[in-house]
Amino acid sequence: MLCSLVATAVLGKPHSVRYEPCTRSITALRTLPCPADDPRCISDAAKAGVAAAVAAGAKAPLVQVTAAVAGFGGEYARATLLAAAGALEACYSTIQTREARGEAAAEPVTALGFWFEGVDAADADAAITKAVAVEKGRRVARDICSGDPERMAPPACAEYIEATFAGLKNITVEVESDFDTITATYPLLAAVSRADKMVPRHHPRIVTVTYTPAGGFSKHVAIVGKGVTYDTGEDSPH
Amino acid sequence: MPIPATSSVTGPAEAGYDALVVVVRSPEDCSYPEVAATAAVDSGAGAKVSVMAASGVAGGRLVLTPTGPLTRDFGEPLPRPGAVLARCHGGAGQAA
Repeated sequence: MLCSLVATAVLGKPHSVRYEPCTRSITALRTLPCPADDPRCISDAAKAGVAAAVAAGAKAPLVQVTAAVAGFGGEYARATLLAAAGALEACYSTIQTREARGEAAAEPVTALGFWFEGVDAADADAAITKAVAVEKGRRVARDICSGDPERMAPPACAEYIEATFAGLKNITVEVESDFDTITATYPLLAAVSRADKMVPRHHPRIVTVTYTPAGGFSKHVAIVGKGVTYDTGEDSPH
Repeated sequence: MPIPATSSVTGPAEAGYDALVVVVRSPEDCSYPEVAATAAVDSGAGAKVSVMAASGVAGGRLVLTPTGPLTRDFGEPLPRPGAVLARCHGGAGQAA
């Protein structure tokens, strides 16, 4: 087949594309054959639909999930939750967009309605409530991960986390900022962040967020993560 | 960092909303005449988001957004993002 470009599919990260201008070849990093479809197509559709509505000028879209989708069942049984999650995601703008343009301009949607055909009211409300709760967490994660290396450098990231959780019941936030203490307590972290030592605004932080349920608890769950802002070849992760 | 106010409704023309976003498998899943009219002149309506004027729905604005079939075993067989980007960069064809 004659062609001016060659599109090549290789195993790798789905939906990513690398363009190589010197050879005019395209490497599309997508598994061939691609994975079987899964229920994410519902959240993708809701997200795309709300995004189109917003682009058309809507500020209060009403999302109807037809009975054929809401009642499909099987692995698609959580269609209502998925649709609500996708619709809410479409309303998000990155933290730097919000800061630059203002919240109202960056995120113009003020209300979202959901009409899940054939779903009883209690189940619909439960799906919406859960989707909103999940979205609140996802927004924090997106803010942290979408901010550029300066906006979400460790000190700024720690301030964002403190501000986000301030005043919430049963949640405490502790931030370790002292470089010497971090060096003594987390020597490996200090070792790999030594390139930051002369740049205070890039100093590492240890942030501990603790949630203690009001009704007591029976086990501890600890989630540990590492964030890298400037990655200069293992010189300065935080 | 506001999240839009959310609520559950039971019809397409609820007051306070200015667009109706309809999540379907295919255009045949819903009975809006505007959707049928669009599908009649656009065979691709089941595979893309379509915005159309519609009476009797919130804001007079209907957005059709299909999921595609929920029973297929495999998605697109070609590396679609690559093919699209190839065309954007001047490619007239493609080979996989």
